[in-house]
Amino acid sequence: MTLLEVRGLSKAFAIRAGGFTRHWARVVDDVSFSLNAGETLGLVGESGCGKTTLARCILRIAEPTAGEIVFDGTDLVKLSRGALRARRSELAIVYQNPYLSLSPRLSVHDLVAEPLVTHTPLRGAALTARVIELLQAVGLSADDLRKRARQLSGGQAQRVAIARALALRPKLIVLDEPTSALDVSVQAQVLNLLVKLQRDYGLTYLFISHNLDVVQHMADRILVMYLGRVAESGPSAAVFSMPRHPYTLALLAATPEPDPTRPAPDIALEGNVPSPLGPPTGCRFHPRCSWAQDRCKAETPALRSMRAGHLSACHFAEALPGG
Amino acid sequence: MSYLEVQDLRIAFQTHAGRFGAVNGIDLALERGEIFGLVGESGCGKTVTSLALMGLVPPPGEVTAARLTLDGIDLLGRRDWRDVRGRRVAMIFQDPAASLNPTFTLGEQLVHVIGHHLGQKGATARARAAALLVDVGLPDFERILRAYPHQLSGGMQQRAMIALALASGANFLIADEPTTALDVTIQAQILRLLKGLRDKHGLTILLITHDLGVVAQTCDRVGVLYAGTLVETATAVELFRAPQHPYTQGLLAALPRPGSRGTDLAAIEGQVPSGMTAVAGCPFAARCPQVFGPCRSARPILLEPVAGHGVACHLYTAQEAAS
Repeated sequence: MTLLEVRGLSKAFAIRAGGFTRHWARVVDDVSFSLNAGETLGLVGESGCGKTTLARCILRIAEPTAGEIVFDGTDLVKLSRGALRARRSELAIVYQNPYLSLSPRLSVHDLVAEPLVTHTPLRGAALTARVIELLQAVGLSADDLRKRARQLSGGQAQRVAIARALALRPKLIVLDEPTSALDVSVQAQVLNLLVKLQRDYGLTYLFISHNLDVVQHMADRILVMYLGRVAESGPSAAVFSMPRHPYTLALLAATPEPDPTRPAPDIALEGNVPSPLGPPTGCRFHPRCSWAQDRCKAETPALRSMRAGHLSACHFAEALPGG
Repeated sequence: MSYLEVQDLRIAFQTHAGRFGAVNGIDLALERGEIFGLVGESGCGKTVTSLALMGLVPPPGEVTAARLTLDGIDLLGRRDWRDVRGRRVAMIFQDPAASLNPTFTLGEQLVHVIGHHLGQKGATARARAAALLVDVGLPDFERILRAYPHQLSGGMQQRAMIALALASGANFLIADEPTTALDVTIQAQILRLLKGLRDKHGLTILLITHDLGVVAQTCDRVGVLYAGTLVETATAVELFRAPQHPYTQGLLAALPRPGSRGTDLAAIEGQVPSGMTAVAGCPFAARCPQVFGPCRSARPILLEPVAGHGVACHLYTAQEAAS
């Protein structure tokens, strides 16, 4: 069953260039995908590729410029403020740095209780009981109720953020780099917890990360973004075993493996990600692509189906190595 | 005699709450021209160790050691660091934007450092600045010399930072998480640059990182720190092939890898000890899955059960005694 379907989503920011001149930075440009209930979609790409903006649009923290976000049958873009507020409890988000996302002034109890107070009639002892239940679900205990975020370790604080996200029994949780600020040993604890919670509560995850190993561990399906567009998407196994876009190939090659006997990556990507203010013509990846030809500069590649559910936006997807 | 010799380095901070032992007696020996990786999680003492090599441990930090020499020069109890800092040792940090001066062009910053350390001025200094930029992979030096840091991308800023670090003629480079703030494709470029500079100029590099993938792809030898102690040291190949210390084994097992999906990651349970209370035995005992008799009472010393592969763990102390 499809829980979330995003169609043609775009988000442009106006940038003043002096006087009355304005430039539009299309940070998310015509992105479409769907996400099944109970699945995890891994959203991958480098800084500035639009992955966080896309997530913010889905939660309507940012207003999309165009497109539809059909969540459980309703287009969230068309909802009025009041109607959106009523549906908000079905979506939640966990950010990268819990020390920034959790108020330093609130106790753990108040942090987890806040969404319950806003959206439910729970108060008093019943509220505290629910808070303790949530803390236990994320591996904390009633002993932590009176602590502040700064008294917790990074892993514990991120557990509080997860408990807060779980409070209203959401259907979809956006996880925006949830373990990037954590140490390796703690990252493993939090990833294990997220997998367990998904199983126990039937959660659907939109998992944003720049760490391909983490995404591969977590995701059923992958969406690779480059400069606001979808470069490639498909089942995790297919995308990782047979990437069909040169950008995905480069990302995989650049990821350092914890194995010194493996030779250093040979497909090196030169240059930097161009600015979304004046993106390259045609395929946005062509200036950095070692397979680029004249056609890539002129013609924007459409997202084409390779095989079952595996899409690539490359003119020469079939000719890439490994195919 | 090794290029860098550190014996029984201890760094402690006297605070209101008591004495905090950040580094509790570590030994290191770096050979000229090698890339040595210092790995460990937040708070393990890897950064403060590198600061001690430059005399930059902030007050009230107290640095003591049995021996601390760089290229035969004694660094202990030194008041005047001017002929060490910059001239022999240079340092680059995680966030190049925060390390470069935003109010001067890169040309001005480079010429200033060259003038201060090498006494070169005018055209000579500018020619050296240009040559340095070419050396770090910025062939477009005319533009870079005139640019302010904010006009460059993160990868270019880190390259410029490396040029600035080398401008003074230092041949020992301390790189503290040099690629953590960068995207993975840019990270690959910077790591390749560091290896290239070592090959070309015989630079000795101390690379501080929490990323085991970066260590595997870049370092010749590695030291693993835990709670201010060196728990294991070996060549990178040996460390990843046959990790000996339970902590190193735990770190490697906690990494998500291709194929780990659907299985629980082997998280290291518990938290790092605070450092405020002196641990009598092994600092890892509280979290160690193989903890036994002597671990909680006696501190293990670093032994070499295999030549060149040091490990501080009672599992091997017992072996040694038996043989």
